[in-house]
Parts: sequence; C-alpha cells; structure tokens
Amino acid sequence: MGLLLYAWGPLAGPSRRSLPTVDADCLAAVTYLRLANAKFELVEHNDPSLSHTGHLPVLHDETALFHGLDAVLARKSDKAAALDAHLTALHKADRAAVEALLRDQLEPVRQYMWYLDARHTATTHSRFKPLLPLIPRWLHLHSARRAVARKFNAAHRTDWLTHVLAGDRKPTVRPPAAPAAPTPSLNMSLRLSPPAQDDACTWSRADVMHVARALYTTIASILGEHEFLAGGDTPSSLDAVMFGALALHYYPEFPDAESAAPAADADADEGKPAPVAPRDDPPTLAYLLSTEFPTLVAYIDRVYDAARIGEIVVAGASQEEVASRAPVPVDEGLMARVRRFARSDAAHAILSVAAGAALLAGYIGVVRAAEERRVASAVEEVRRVQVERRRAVAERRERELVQEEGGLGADGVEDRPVDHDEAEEEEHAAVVTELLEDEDEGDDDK
Amino acid sequence: MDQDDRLEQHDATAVADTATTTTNDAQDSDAPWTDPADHDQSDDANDRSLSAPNPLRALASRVRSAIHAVRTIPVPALALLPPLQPVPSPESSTPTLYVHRPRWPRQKNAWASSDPECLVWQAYLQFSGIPYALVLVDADNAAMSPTGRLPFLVTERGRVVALRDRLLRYIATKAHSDEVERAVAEAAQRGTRPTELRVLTPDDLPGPPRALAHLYLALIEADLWPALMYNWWLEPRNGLGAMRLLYAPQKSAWPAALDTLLVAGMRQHVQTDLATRFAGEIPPAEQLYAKAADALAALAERLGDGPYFFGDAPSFLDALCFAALHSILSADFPCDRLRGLVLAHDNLFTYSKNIWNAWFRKCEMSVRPIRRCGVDLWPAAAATTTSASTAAVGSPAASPVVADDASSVA
Repeated sequence: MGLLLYAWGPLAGPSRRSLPTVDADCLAAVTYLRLANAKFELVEHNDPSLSHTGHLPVLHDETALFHGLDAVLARKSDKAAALDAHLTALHKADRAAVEALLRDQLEPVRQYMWYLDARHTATTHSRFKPLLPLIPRWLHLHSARRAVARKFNAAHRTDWLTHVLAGDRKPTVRPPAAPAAPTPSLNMSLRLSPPAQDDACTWSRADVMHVARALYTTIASILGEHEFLAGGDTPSSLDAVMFGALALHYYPEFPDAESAAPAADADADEGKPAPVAPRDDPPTLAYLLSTEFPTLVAYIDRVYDAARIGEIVVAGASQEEVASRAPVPVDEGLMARVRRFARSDAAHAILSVAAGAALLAGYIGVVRAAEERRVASAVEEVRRVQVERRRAVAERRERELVQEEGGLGADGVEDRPVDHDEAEEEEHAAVVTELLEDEDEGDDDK
Repeated sequence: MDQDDRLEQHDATAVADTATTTTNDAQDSDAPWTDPADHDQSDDANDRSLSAPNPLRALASRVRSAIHAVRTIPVPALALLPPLQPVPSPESSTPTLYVHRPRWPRQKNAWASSDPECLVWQAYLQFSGIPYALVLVDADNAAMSPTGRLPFLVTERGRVVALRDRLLRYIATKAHSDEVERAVAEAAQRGTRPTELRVLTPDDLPGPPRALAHLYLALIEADLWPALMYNWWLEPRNGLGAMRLLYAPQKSAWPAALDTLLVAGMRQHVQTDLATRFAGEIPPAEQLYAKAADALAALAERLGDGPYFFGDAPSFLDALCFAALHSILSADFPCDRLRGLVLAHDNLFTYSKNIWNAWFRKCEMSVRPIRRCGVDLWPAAAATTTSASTAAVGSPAASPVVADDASSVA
C-alpha cells in the first residue's frame, strides 16, 4: 500500500505554478516526502477533523498514523535520516526556531492577505469552491477569518516579535484604547468570555506588509548566499518547511490590475536588477517578493524544481477512487467520534443555533413568568379586597342584627343576605376590572 | 431610593382599606422605618393563610430593611473599602513601573516580581539602563491599569504604557537619549551595572545575528511561553492553589473567598490568550511540553557558553529568555516537568543564575509605596530598600523628589 498522505486539495484559481495543496502544512509535508524520495500517494481529503490535532496532513503508513506536520516530520525513517544527514546540531536547533517563525508570523501574514484583505476575499472563496460544498466552505472560511482577526487584534498583548519586526513604525490604525476596561463596580476584572473581537481587524494592510517585509529580510539573511538553508547544496527538511510557507506567499495570483507584479522583465535583463522602486503599500505579497526580494524568489523556484512539485498527481476524491482505495483508518471509538464531531464545522453551526434557541426560550420563559407573577399578584389583591369587604359586610350585619334584635323582630333578617350576595358579585366584578386596569396603568408608568 | 418609594406606594394602595386598623408606628420618624404590614394586628392580617404566601413580598421587605441598615453605617468607615478605580499618581519625573508583588517564599530580593510578564519588563528595563522607580502592587489593584492587567509603566510625562508595542517603542526612544547613555556609562564605571554594553533592539545588531534574534524570539514566544503559561495556570495537577499563593493579596479589605474569583478571572485571561495564539483549540499538554523540550534544547544549543546570546551585551532576547527560565526554575509546583526539562541543560541554569546575580540580586531599586487617600500602604516593605539608586544619578531634577520619598518612607 505504501504511504498515504491525506491533505487539502490542490490550489485552484490563477497561480504562477501549480501546487498540489492549498495548505502550508500539507505543502511542507509533500515537499518533505518528495525531497526524501519517499514513495507516497497524495490523497485529497478536505476535512481537518480527520486529524487528532485538528490540522491536516495525516500520514498513514502500514503501521501507524501520524497526525499533523510535527508528527510527520518527526517520523523516523532511513530516507529522512539521509535527507538531514548533513545538518549539524545548530542547524537542527535552528529548524525548531524556523518552524516557530513560520507558524507564528509568516502564516498569519498570509492568512491576513487571504481572509482579511477586502480585495482578495472573493479570490479566496473561489479557491475553496472546488474543495468544499457551500456551507462547510463558508463555515471554514469564517472561522479562519475570525481566528486571524483575533490574533492580530490581540497582538499588543500576546506578541513581542510582531512589534519587534514592526520596529519604529507607528501603526496607522490604533487598537481600541481599553479593550479590556475593568468593570466599574468591583476591583476584579472578571470576564467569562472574551470581549467582542469580531472579524474587524485593527491592523491595516500597510502595517502587515511592513511586518512581511521585515520577515522576508530575516529569511533572506538566514539564507545568505547559499543555495539552500543549512548551508549546503542539497535541500533538507528545513527547506521543505520553509518552502511550504513561502510558496503560498508567492505562487497564488490575485486577478487585480494593481496586483500584477512586474516580473516579466526579469528574464530579459539578467545582468541589471529590475529598477522598480519599493512601494510602501504593495498590493500583494507576491508583488513585494518579486520587487524587493529576488533571492527569495529564486530560492522558492529552486526548491520547487528540486522537489519536482509540478509532477505530483493528486489522487482525487471522486467516487471510484474513494471506493477503490482502502478505507480511511478512522478511529471508530465513541470518544474519538465525539471529539471529531466537536471539532467539525457542523458542530459549531448546530451549537450556535441551539444556543440562540435556548436564549430565546429562556427570554420568553422569563417574560411569561413575570407576566404570571403580575397577574397572580393582581388576583391576590382582588381576593384580599373581597375578603375585606366580606368581613366588613359581616360586621355590619352583626351590628344590624344586634340593633334589630333590640328594635324590631327577626323577620326581615333572611332577606338581606341574598341581596347582599348579588350586590357583592357585581361589586366584585367591578373591582376586578378596576384593579386590572390599574395594574396595566402602573406598568405603563414604569 | 426610587425602588423604596415605589414599593411604599404599592403597599399604600393595597392596604388602603385596612389603614384604619394599622398602628401609627410608621409615622414615627425616630424609629427605623418598618413595614406597616408587620404591625397589622387586625384579624384579617393574622389570617395570612387566606392569601397565598408570597415569598417575593417577604424577600422585598428583607431587602428593604437591609438597605436601610447599610444606610446607617457611618460614612468614614466607607473609606476602609478599596476605591473603585484607583488611579496611579506619578509623583516625580522618573518613569514608574507597576508590577505584581514578589511572592516567592525564599526570594531575598524584595523587588523582582514573581510574575513572568512583569519580570520581562523589569529585566528589559534593567538592561536598557533607564533609571526607573518601582511600585509593587497586589493583584486586586490591577484595575489601576488601562488594560486591567499588570505590568504597566507610567512615563516621566505621565503617560501610561500598558501595551507591549508601546513599551518597545518607549524604551527604544528613551534609551538612546543622552542622559540615559551618560547614566549607563557612569553606572558601569561605578560598578552598579555589570556592563555598559547593551543591545536594545535586534535592529542594533548586524544582519545575521539580527535574523537569529528574530528566530529565537519566535521560538520562545511560540513554544516555551505557552508551555509556561499552561503549566502555571491550566495544568490540572497544579490547580489554582499555586496561583493563589502567588497572586492573592495578603492584606485586602475583601473576604478571602473573593480571592479565588480574582485568580480564576486571571486564569480566564490566560486561557483566552492561549486560545488566540493557537487559533481556537489549545493543544494537549503532551504536545506543549514536547515543543517546550525542543525549544529548550535549541536555546541551549544556540546559547553555548556565552554570558548572553549575542556576545557580551544583554538584549531583549536575553530578557525574555531569562524571565521564562527564572520563572520555571523558581516555581515549586506539584507538576514541575518544565523545571526538569530546563535542568537537563546545564548552561541554561548557569545562564539564568548569572543574570539573576548580576542584574537583580544585589542591585538597588527605589520602590515607591502605593498612596491611597494620602496614606502610604505597606510602609514596612518600602523600608527595606535603600534610597541610593541609579535613579538619583540619572536625572538631577528628580533626585530631591526621590530623596523626599525615601525619607518619608524610611
């Protein structure tokens, strides 16, 4: 059976070169396996809940499953050892740092461009159209956008390197002055849910481009004059990881008149550098790379050719292929299924709808209870008044009886209680209506 | 109160017919006001079983009596309660840093905070040579800060720096000013400061070391710091007890039960920040600790034997790394996996110890007390610090104010 790599589907839409997958981690895994000359089959699987970490790729060899890029890179094999044979301990140390830099800084920049830049969101939607049906696509893109917006919004609290990279540049859009203003009643700023950090990102594109420029400068100086990272003429796992992130910065094209990078002349004049002035606000990352960082562009192309990415055939997700392939080794235990469902987008949709319905039901219940309480108290008032009147009537009757016994006979006694009952009922009805009207007027006043 | 008046009106309409039978106690202004229904001695009032028992009415009357009782507390006693939003008042032209009070039981230094974030700011300020004063704050007064969290810095012009990017920009601009450079040179000559060299920002470094600085900053932020925060706040084996020891205020006007709420609120902040960093789902503990182990191995490899990461000059990377390592090594929690991982590398332990000895252990710091309503809180803690500090040398205009403070405190 060989190795099976489950990854996101191929990059659709306009791009300089074809890429077999749309995700940076998956592309890094693909490049790593290609550079190590491992025979594997790339299977398109657009559901990240397959992985225990919640992120694709997942590698399935004969014995075990490896979830996530870290596990795939840590998998021991002869070919992997041969690939990294020339790395020193210092290079291996640098690899951990490079992975951290890519994951924490480069990827959010690319995600900003894809999900938060208003000019490019349409292209991003079209890139995911062949991969996911409408609702999962919308949910996935929405959650990705929200995650990136939250990360950038919280950067002034959780991030040092982003600000070190931004340097002296004052951001053009200030973050909200006191996003976590303390509650005015107590000294404890106890908040059980994050404050409203919605999709609106407080960073402007110019600032993100500034950070991107600093990142590219860093990577270019790590690369130096060498052909590949780690100083050799053969690529290593460091290059695979770096390529996985950088390729998605450079290869996807955005069909915008402004975004067309002036790269056509590069082949013509090889001796002279392209005389394009660096813009403060380049429209895309590809533009920034091709105008200001030609060494990085050359490096990306070099790794692409070394790994022969263009020759990869993606095993599609069509029905026949899925049927012919061995079934995906999915953990069928109850807890695993529950966990997978909880991570999926459908669960988020259902939960939000259920939460909304519960809130609505609760509100209606509270309003109804208040109404009932009001009616009950009004009825109780009426009863009390009725009891009071009965007692007053009874006292009057007793007094009259006493007078009667003293004055007249006992004849006219039986007539009066009957009259009093009828009169009482009329009075009761009148009092009820009066009190209920008063209740309503009282409510209007409040 | 409006509520009271409305309730009284309601009572008046309900018992209008029984007014003839009520006593006149309610008219007496000397006695505390009581519910006329309580003094109703007629027969129908005693036959309460006729009307359904109304717990709401009973509760309302109890609330009214409680409110009235609170009204009778004498006003000066209200000053014992902590003010709702205390505002820091800078009294001199020295920048003042507000940090969490140190609570490590065996730490002899009285001013190096036990909170990792505060320690980063303190270490960076120490390395930069900017003379500053310190205020030790309990966690329940964190509302002083505009973000609701410590640490924050009040600059000499009275502006509050609570965000990381503003701090970096402030230190970059201030530390390059002439007076600070002079102060740094003088302090290095006198021996108060280990070395006059400093690397303020990675931009001060040439190309390749600058890239390395960025790389390893990313490594610490992405792999080591989340593991540290998880181990301190979210590790089930540690629970909240350890954090309560570190953050619950020792002397506060609130009952001790509220301290748990305070610390739980801080934990919620940490959890939110971690979730933001990992885009939704915090990875399991094993993965975090594995990444931390790799990160520590990489840092040990890159550090080698040098006193600092980049030659002889301490930089921001050293501040961040030192704060993380020192917090990990000082913590004595039930789950101390991170400590074991750090101790596996000798050079990291030596590095952390050397920076502590050189920059914190014997250094002097002017610690200002918190003033509340003109009264100094914690006078005993401030008396242990000396008045001779780098602050006195740095800005001559500030020294008489510093001396006054010290004399009033000591």
